[in-house]
Amino acid sequence: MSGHVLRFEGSAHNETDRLLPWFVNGTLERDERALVERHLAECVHCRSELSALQQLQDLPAEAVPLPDAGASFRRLRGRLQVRGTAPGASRWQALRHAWMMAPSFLRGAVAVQAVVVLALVAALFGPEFPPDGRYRTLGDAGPATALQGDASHLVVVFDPHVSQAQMRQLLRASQARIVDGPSDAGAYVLAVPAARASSIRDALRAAPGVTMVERLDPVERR
Amino acid sequence: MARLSGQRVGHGAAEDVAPADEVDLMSRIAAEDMSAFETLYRLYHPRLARFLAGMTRRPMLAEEVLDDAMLVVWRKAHTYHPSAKVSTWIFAIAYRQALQALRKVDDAVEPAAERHAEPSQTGPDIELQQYEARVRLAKALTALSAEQRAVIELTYYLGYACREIAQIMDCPVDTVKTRMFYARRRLKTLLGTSLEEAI
Repeated sequence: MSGHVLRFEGSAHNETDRLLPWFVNGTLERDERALVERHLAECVHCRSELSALQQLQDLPAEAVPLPDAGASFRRLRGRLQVRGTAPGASRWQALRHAWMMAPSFLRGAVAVQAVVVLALVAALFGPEFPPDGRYRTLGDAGPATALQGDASHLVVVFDPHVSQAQMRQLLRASQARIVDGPSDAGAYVLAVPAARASSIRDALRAAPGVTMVERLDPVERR
Repeated sequence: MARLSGQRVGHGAAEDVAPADEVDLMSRIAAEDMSAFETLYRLYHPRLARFLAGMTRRPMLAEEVLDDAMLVVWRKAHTYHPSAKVSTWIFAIAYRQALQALRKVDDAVEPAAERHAEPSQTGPDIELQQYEARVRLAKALTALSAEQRAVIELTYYLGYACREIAQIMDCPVDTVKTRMFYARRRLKTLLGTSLEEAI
């Protein structure tokens, strides 16, 4: 057979010819059946074809001996027992199936209940935000943590490919600790000794694996 | 027009189980209810046996495929969704299983005509003519592709609509019509100028 799919449009004769098998088995939609019936009334060839297809449909039905269903099922059940072939449904899958079979209003009600329960659980056990918790931008004056008197803050963006080991080494060499971040832009806020803030900034700028370093202290802003 | 004769095993023929009951059976099978599975098996066995024998033209292989297909039904019952007809869901599984099985075996095996019952020795001439016609038709059907035979079986002997066959074979409706078109043309070539003359 060709892999080409034919387009079945055109004359009533051609359309009727294509639809005849399903006219014979009585499954055409109403408009298709009406088209075929109209054409059959005036086309000898299609009536002849219809007769042939009806005989084709009737002919072999009695020719195929069917195996005994009872014996076949016993054999299949034996296979199930031997192989321990329980249905593939786990308890979770069975629950899922039961969910799909449930009426839609019931599923909706259960879904709403689930959302309410989740909201309550989140309210009870969710993360607690500090009373003065606020979001900061890179240009903000300082992190939420209280500034130490002898500490300055740097905002640092590391190269995305820098390893954790490299990052730790840089932090140790700078006597820095991360006090905030990473932000959406991948920036960290580092606390460093105030006396060495400028030299640490310059050292970090020169270090591989660091994309950007700026001081956050007001004195550095111009 | 009568949809199906009493001899036929089509899905619209005499059945005691309504589609809604079939959906209920599927739900119970998903919950590992073996008695529901047996009910469904007995309900579909004649139709699947007929379909698979006609599609594969190999009775032994057809029985194996039938068992394999019903095993898939047992295992995958939890994936059935009632938006589809149980009938098309099961036949789609059987169709895929048959295609897979046919790909695995060599194509030059037993002609199906050998399985046809011999005409009775005392029968009238018309019975002999029908027997001969069946043998010729069976031989001609072996020359078709498995997909074409599937369309023939699903249409003429199982009474499915073109749209349902498209769902079973997982293809567009026009592909079903194309397969039927080429199948009929091939049968005419093999049997004579028209099916009527051949029969």
